Amino acid sequence: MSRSEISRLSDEDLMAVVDRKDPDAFEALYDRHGGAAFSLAYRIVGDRTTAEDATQEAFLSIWRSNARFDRARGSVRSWVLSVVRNRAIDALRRGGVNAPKLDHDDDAALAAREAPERTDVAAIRNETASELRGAIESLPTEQSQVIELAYFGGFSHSEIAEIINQPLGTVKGRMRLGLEKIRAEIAEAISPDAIEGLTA
Amino acid sequence: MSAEEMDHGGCSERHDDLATYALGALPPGEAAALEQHLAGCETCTERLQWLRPAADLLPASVEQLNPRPELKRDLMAVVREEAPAYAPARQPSRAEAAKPGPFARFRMKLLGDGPLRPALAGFAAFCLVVVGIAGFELGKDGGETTTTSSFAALPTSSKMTGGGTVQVSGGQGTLTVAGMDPIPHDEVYQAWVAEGDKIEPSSIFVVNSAGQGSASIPDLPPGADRVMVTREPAGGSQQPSTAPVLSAEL
Repeated sequence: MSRSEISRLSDEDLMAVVDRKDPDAFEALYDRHGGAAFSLAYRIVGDRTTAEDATQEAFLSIWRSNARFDRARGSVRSWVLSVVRNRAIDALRRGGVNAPKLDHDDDAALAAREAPERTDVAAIRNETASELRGAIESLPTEQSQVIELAYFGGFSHSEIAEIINQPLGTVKGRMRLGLEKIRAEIAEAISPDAIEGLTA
Repeated sequence: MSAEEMDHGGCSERHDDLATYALGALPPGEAAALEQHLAGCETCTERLQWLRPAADLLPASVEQLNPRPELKRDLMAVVREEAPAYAPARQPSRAEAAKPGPFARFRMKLLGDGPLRPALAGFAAFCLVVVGIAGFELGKDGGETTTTSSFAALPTSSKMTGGGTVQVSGGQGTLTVAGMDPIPHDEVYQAWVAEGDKIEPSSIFVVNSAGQGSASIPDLPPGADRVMVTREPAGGSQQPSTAPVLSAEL
């Protein structure tokens, strides 16, 4: 399959070609999701080198493992990012990197950004990312705190209960309320196409 | 569908768990139990589908950065190097399919001529990869021609995971492994060199979270016929204390 044909494939169809161990298809997969993957890894580990290692490990595991993508469980992008998240959290738990940041005042990330390579798509993503960050910040602190500890810190509910010294039921309740608010007040405010664009 | 509309399914006690699950914060045992419930509960499944985009959007909330181009360059170098080893995974031509290739011959020798038993299929698929990358290279080193031989390091049973290669050149070897089981901090992997019944300890090594690692085998005697890998206590051992997990016939 030629590169131009590959470039026209949907993510789901692209994965079928990646499964056949086509390096050009894999390169296209990286081109589509590598930036988001690295950004997520950096957000979790707070260190550029470790984030690159985690991103590379995640993509290699996808390449080598007959990628177990299941379209019934979500988009390719969400799946790739879940693999990256797991690798980044592994790296975090192995130690040697900074603790996850619990705020969004990310000067280091801004400094690390390679502005000349930003594309229009990236700019739109950044704009939306900024809106989403603002929305998450508008959550009550106790809700955004447990969501960030869970998603970006990789902590289980019982670990979070221990960290913030609250009962397990309280932690789970805060996660539910926070996630419901994001879903109802933010995700529904963004058009389904926009959500598809961000998660697909 | 709003959150309120979905609160009438009789599973409200599970709603907290669904959010925790969507955030990846439910421990594996509880996650498995919830997945079992989801398989038979349409209400909870619909609610999870409604909630999931909120969790899926969280990665989009982070500052979007561009990785260095070197990351892609290094990644694709590995991928393009490994791709030929997976070549039989691609659709063979009719002529290629009719003629037994190296893997088919290897499989027949290893497993007999017939369909792979499921338990051995993964093992055989792995063998396909490592056999595919075994071979010989010739190179020039300071005007002298040197030979580098590569040997597949295979799991010793279908229950073992991982594998790798041993590259031998000029009386020295390099063992490279991937897909190995993680080991606790008080254990290491150790390479051993066998020459008939004589087994000598060699380097110890650990693997990263992807199960990848490497070790040099500095003194490889000319009569060495096997390199093995075992799990040993931290610091290594003078004699193997566990059964080999990998073995490479030289």
